[in-house]
Amino acid sequence: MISFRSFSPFLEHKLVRAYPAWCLAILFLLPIAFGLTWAILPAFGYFPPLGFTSFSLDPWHDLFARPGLSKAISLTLFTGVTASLLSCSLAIFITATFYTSGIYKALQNTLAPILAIPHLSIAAGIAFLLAPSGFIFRIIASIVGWDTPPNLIIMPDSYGLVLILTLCLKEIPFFLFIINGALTQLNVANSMVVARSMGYHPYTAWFRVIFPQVYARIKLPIAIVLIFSLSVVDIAVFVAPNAPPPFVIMLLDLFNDPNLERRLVAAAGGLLLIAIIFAVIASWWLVEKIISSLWNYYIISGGGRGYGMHITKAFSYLILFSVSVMAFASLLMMIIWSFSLTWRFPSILPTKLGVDNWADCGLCSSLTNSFFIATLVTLFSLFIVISLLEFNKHKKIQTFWFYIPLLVPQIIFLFGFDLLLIHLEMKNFWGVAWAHWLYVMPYILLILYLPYIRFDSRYEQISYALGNSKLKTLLRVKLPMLFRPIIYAFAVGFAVSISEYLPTLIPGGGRISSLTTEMVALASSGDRRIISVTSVFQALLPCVVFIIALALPNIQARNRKGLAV
Amino acid sequence: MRQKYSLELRDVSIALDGNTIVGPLSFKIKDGDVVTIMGASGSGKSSLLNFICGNLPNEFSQEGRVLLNDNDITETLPEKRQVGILFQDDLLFPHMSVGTNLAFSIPQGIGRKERQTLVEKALADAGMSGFGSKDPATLSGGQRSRISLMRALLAKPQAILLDEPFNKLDSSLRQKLRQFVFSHTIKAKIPCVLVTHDIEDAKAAKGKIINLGIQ
Repeated sequence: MISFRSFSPFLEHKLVRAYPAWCLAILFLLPIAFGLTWAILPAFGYFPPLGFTSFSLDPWHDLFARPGLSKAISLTLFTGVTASLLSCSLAIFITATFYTSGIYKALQNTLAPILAIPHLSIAAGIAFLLAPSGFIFRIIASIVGWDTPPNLIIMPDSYGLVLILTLCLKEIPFFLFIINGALTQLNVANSMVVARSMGYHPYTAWFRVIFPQVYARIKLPIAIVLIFSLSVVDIAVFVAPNAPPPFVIMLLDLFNDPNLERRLVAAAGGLLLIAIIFAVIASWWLVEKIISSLWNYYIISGGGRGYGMHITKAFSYLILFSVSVMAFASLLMMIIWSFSLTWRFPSILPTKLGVDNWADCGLCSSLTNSFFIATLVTLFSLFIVISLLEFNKHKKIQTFWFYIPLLVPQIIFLFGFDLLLIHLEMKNFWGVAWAHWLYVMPYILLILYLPYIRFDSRYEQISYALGNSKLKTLLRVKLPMLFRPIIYAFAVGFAVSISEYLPTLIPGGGRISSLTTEMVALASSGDRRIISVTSVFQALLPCVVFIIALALPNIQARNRKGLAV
Repeated sequence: MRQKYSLELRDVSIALDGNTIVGPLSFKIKDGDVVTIMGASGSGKSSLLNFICGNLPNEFSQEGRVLLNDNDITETLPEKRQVGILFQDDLLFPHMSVGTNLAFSIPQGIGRKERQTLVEKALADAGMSGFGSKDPATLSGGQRSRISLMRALLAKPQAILLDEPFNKLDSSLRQKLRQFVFSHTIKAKIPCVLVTHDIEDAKAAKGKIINLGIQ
């Protein structure tokens, strides 16, 4: 048995105790400062690495002179806002209809693994399902008797509807999860009893009494989804229109342009994107204020008790059914394609199956890169977050700062960060891991923060009183009791890292490939077999980690009722 | 004045997994009277209230009838029963102002002007005139409890259930609130069922006491 006590004097030293602060200053604040500075300055013509040393507004003139700019921006606005609004409201309707039923409990148990599936896998599956040569048209063809795919521009369609669908399939489960988290903080059952005793139909009672309280708690997730939908890159490569593309894809092309001057234009575009996001969030907030004041007026003037809500109920059933079928079908498509050797149009099923695709996929290095980056980054994030929370348990931590990487579109932030990596000659595996860490750590903090500060400190006091050191108390009492949130945070961090596209592409300079960068690179090849194999790996890896993460705490709790949830 | 029995329980028993936790129990209450149900925690007090207001979860099995003003409401939906309930947590809705909380419970079909008058009157009754636009979170414990009762009464219930409503208050406040609550249920002329484990509550209610533990 190791004696923990002998380490204690060393650990009590002031400078040692400050190591979370040191790490965060160097690893977190430095890249943020760098990333933001170099997102802003080049937009105004100042970019010494390329020889631009005087300020000017030329990048802005060039930006606004780009052909297709306004179309690209309207496409981004339409798809981003519609997808966020739809997925949020559908998740709310589904919760309102099902939250007391057995379906809802079953749904909550399956949500975590579904959330772990990267967006990109879903996007690929949707593409296989809906393309003119995809599964649905094969069924139609076999009935009507076509032998070539129809000549339709639906994959991608020029309005971005498939992009919206893909985003919704991924964001609805996210919102269901977040809303459930909010519900557990409320006294739902008794509030509903009170509202029903006043004569309100349960559905109406939920919307008037529970919904506003839930909404107040999901504003940050809504903002995160809005920002994500307005600036998503990897899915857009698969399912968004390309002439014109969404605004972000236009920016990525500008950044990658061989003509280096274009980087200044791209920087101006990045700032414009931030302005657009800001305007969207401000309008959302304004509309919300207007609706809530109308709402209050309605209640004071004697709002109805709400009967005849059967249509909404039927609607929720329909939505839940179609979302589940779509998600399931797209995953199934991906699995079938990964095993198919010959599958010509219009055959409904492959004519030849085998494991050859798996044997020849050549994904070994991408797979190991993805796995090791995700594991290292998540473990390090856990270490830093737990240290930070442990050393600051009597102070209030301003968590907002840690969410900055999530609140600034990746494309803008990463190009600035990239300059730092060039300075440090770190455009390699470690540079990629660093970038991933910036995106994983906020999620780990988000998940661990509440369980950690709510931990009953009397358990620690008892342990100290029994003569145990701080470290021993932490390792033998506190962390085992917090095992469930910790392992859950690990699974989330792992899944986040696996799905990151730009944080792998930009710092790696194309030399470090992960499953996600591999998939995007394969998108243009159109080789469905290899895309599917990559996509299955990409979905499977985080899913397996999630299933283990959900199972382990139950094993720990098998003879300990006090640890069960 | 002749008073009739307005709330009646007939041979009520509640079971969970085959074990009877309440009953069989029968009692009648007149308008303005209080019946106090006493018992230790886990004695099924709250289940009995849930049975009366129609919110007993499905995993419980129930027998017997509950009658309100001679109507059998055993199978009626909770929102159609006109039975109000008050918990130990005041459950004021945090997203509404104090006034909106009150207005929320006024029945449909009453005009805007009259609703406002009713809210003002309820605030005055609670000794809290001018508190209408306040955030419920800024009120003291006693104020919150009073608003909570006024809100329950504004819905014009035909009976009211009190689920340990004085539990969380300190003893001096508890006494004041008991008087406030019972004076209002008498004024509203409705039957009242009080569930508690504090004998002082039962004494203040001045009604019949049913002890669930000893049956």
